Amino acid sequence: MRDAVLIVGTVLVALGLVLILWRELSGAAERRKTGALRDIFEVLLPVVATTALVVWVWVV
Amino acid sequence: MTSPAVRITNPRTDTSVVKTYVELMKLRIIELLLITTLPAMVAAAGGWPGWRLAFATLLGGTLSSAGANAINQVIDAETDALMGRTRGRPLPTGRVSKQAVLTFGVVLGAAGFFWLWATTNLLAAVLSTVGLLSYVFIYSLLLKRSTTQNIVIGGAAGAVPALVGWAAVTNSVELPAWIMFAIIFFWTPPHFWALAVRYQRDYERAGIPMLPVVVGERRAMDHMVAYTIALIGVTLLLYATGPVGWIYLLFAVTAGVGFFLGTWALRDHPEAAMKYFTYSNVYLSIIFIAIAADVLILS
Repeated sequence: MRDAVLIVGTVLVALGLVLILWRELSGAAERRKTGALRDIFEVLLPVVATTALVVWVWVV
Repeated sequence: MTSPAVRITNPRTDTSVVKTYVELMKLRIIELLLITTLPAMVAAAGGWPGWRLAFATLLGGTLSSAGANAINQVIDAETDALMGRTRGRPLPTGRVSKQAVLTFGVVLGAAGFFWLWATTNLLAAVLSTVGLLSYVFIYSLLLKRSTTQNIVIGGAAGAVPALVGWAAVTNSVELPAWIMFAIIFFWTPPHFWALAVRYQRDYERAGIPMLPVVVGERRAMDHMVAYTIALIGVTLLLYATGPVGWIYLLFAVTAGVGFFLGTWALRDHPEAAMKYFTYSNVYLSIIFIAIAADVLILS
């Protein structure tokens, strides 16, 4: 049961992160209020951190 | 000439001063922070962590959060005066000076640190102070007025109480604590963007680039949907890692489906933003109460 929930949870997180990246980056020109580098850093930071968290869950 | 005795014993003045300082602490926001701290403690302990430790941690967390809220109001004094929702706060109305509020906030923050250190452990005290400092310096000063990602990254400060609760019990921060942190982190953007939809003009007037102000409410709601999907996934990961059982899973799934449907429906009914905002508070409470209930019942 826990394995099945792990897979569903991971798929949902991955889908959410892909959608977040797509929404944030495709609309960056309109949304961006800072320099491009800082903006990309701000968008990627939570995505990378969450990916690391999911990897940690799988390793454990 | 006014008699000194009359001034000293004027109960209305004393009451209003106390009321002003209580208002600066924003206790209603702290309520939600505490709802996340206690279940984290219960999960870390695998049962009830004890009244003494629970009280000590909640008091320390309250002091730190109240300090952060007070200092934040010093930073936001000018913008608060421009927004209908906040112009009645103590600083914009001139009921208290910036210097006094800053001192109050710093004293509360320091008290929170030393209290947690003395009654729990150094790690919990440091984490709580990191939460305060990141709220003030990263969210309020660095991000709030300069980027649409303000509430996304800044939201991490509001997620710290889960780490504090876990650390207070175990003197460490393990995987389940980080998952609880992530739950609050992904919950924060939809929650605050709903508020920004409702108070769009206020934020625009104050020059705060909340996402709905910059890209429009419909596109912001698409972002909210994305964060909600990730949020539901993260809530499931907590079950997968083991500290909680089927009771939590039941509530996480049903409340999660409800939250997703609410976020989706908001796209066509932006006028329901405040209802959604209120439900998002209920949703987070359900998730964390379910964590505590699950551990207490099944352990």
